[in-house]
Amino acid sequence: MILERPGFLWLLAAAIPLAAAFLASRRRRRMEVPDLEVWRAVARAQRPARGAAVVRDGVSLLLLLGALAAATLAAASPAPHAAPPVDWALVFDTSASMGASDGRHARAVAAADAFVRGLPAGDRVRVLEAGAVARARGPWRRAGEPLPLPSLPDERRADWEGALERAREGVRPEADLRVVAFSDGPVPGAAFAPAVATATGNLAVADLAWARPWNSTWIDVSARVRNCGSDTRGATLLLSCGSRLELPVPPLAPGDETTLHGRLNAPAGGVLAARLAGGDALAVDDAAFAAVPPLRPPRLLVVAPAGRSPFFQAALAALAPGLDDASGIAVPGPAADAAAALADLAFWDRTGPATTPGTAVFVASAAGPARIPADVLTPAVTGWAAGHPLLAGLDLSRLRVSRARPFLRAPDLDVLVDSAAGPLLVARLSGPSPCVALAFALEDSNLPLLAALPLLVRNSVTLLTADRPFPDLHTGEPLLPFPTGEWIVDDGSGPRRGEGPWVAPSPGVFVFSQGGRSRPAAVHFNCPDESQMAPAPPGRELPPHPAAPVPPWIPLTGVAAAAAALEALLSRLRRPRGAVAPTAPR
Amino acid sequence: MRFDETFFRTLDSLVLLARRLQGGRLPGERPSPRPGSSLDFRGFRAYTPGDDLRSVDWNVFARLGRLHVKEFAAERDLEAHIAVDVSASMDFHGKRDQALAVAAVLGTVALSRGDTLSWCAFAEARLAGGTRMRGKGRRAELLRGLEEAGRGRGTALAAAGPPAGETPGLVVVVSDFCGPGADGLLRTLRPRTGDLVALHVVAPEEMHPAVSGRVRLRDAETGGEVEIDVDAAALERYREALAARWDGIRARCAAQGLSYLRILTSTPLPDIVVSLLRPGGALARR
Repeated sequence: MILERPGFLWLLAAAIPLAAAFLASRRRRRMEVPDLEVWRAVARAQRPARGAAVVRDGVSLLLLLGALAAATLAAASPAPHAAPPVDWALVFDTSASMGASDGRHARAVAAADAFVRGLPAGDRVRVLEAGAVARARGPWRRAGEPLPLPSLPDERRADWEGALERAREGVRPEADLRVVAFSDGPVPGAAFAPAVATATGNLAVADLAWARPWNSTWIDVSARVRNCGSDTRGATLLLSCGSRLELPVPPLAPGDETTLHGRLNAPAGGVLAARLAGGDALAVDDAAFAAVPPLRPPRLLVVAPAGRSPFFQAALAALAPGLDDASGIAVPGPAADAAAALADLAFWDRTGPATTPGTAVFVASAAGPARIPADVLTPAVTGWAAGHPLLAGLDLSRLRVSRARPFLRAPDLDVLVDSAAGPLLVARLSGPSPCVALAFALEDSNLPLLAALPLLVRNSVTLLTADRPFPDLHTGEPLLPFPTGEWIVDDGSGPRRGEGPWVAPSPGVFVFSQGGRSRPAAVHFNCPDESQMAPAPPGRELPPHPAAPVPPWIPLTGVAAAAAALEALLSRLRRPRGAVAPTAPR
Repeated sequence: MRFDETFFRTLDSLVLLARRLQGGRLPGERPSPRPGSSLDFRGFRAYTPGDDLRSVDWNVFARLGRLHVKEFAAERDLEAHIAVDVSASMDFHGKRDQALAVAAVLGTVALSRGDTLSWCAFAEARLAGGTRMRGKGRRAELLRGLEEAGRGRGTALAAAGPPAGETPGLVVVVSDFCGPGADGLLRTLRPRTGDLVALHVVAPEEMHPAVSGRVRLRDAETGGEVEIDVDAAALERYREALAARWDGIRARCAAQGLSYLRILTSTPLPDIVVSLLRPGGALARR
């Protein structure tokens, strides 16, 4: 038993004046009579009744003191137990799976609300979120105060360790910490974790890829769909990018996946979206996006000594009519440098620009990546990257080179063809100056004789001239849109300014722009762990709040009132009946 | 204490009533059992030497041949003693004043009739009094003495008696007969050969005391205390006990052949005089 207002115990000091007043009221008035003998006879007859009166007086005094003690205790607000207070950490899982359509997030919020409303007044509550990072929603609050609602769940993971660590912050030394986790999965370290999930069927778009054939208005789309639920399920996949296409998803057993292919006419490019129709437990993984640039003929420039590069001229002629009309060949010099700056791709054949090159293909050029200082005769090709997109459709196993000056290896260079003396063909597809570089002149190899050269040229044009979107992002991942400066992002709802890294908030296509340049970024959810809709783990339900005990002050007040009433009754019994008003004896 | 002339004249017409013949020391107007020289023939007795020969009845000698002398009753005064209780119990409800007034009436009557009067106001001791007062001229002294009688506390038997050597023929005790000595008072004061009149002074308020609730009652004379819860039932028992006590005093007087008269404080003095004239009272008309 603890007292919430112990200051009222000072009321017990009133027992002394109360007892004194009672005894004074019980004190007999002194009166003088002429003859006491007659009164003695009356008193003798009263003696048994007087004994009872003495007992009544004692009982009355005890009742009065008891009433005072009970009223004092009631005013001091005794609490029924002296158990230490509890600091309840309500940790909400804000990972994406909690946003399932079965309302598990709302159910968790409702359960927390009901739980908090029944807490004793001395307890405190704090809301924490276990998302990609653990965070607290406001400070500790007294039980009964309104709690902040947790964020809507859309994150890729739940940082339980961090959340439990955050839960320990600010716990009162005298209080017990108890963690209540509201999650649809098993939660380590939580005392209570009510089961909130009910739905188990879920399909997810695991992957989305597209490719535009050379100079084609159509794009080839492939989407991989996985059954992440626990029952067999089929659906319809909707593809859209200017045009629409519906692909049926055959029934998939739990854990199975399938890849669907389709072709969309998308000359203007845009947002390629793949959406699963039919509805399932989790909506966030039902769509995937990609940014498709519009079909645009590239402007190419070949710079070669004396304006002669027959191999490249032949390869570019094979690409027509998909090239810009301004494409052509030039001799090295300032004019060539200026024209190269305006071109989407410049082929520097045995020469190089005087200024910083843009997107380029270097052939035995000193302007490309760094090379060893001396030429190597007949370097033996030791390997080639058959899976690289630049070498798609090529077979360089029969490549021979008579003279070359190999490149120095560098981290930002993809080695496409390697030799014992060093890389002979390298590519840099990212960074401010993407390029493809050959360490040898075409005349010093049999590459022109192979059917590979036109393909290599086309692949280079395709990869180096296309708008380069950012690599696909997942929600919650950071992205640095531009190395420096302020940028503007448009997510479809309007432009917003920003600077520095940007965190992908949700699936979709976001277009960043800076200084006239723009780059789209496609964001997918694609998180198998969160898409997994397993049956709910057995819940560790919250202990029911004990039935609210009757506040002790209520029975104490009743006791005080009953004691006072009983004392009043005894006073009435004690009062002589029919007595005349006392007057002076004389 | 003042009586007007009318009241004095009324009192002059009265006399203290003595039911037995008493012989005072001085000649008076009351018949005495002793032989004397009044005109009231008392009887004969055999002659003894020394008797006055003038009292020999020669006719009897002629018939009987023996000498007899005639005796006549003597007329003496009445020696009366009035004892007034001025103890503390008499201070209630005007009993003291009423008692002193009654004593004044009786004393005045005695002095007017030529009786010899002694009086005392007593409590635990004799507080005031006079001895052998006689004649109307002493009335003022009597009244002043009674008026100036003090107040005492207890009731002492010895203090109420007549002065030493006095043998009054009539003793009047005016008292409320309260206190431990009251019961023996009558027995002690009763003269061997005279009468005793007990005038019991009571107040109507005593029958209806203004006492209620939880009280500690203290005896005005003895200081004894008793605790009692006074309610209607207690009051009823009190009244019954008080009536029994008063009746007991009356019964004891009757048993001892004493005159008893109860005097209420609410009764005017002339009415008391009238009541004293009734049979068993202390006064009679001349």
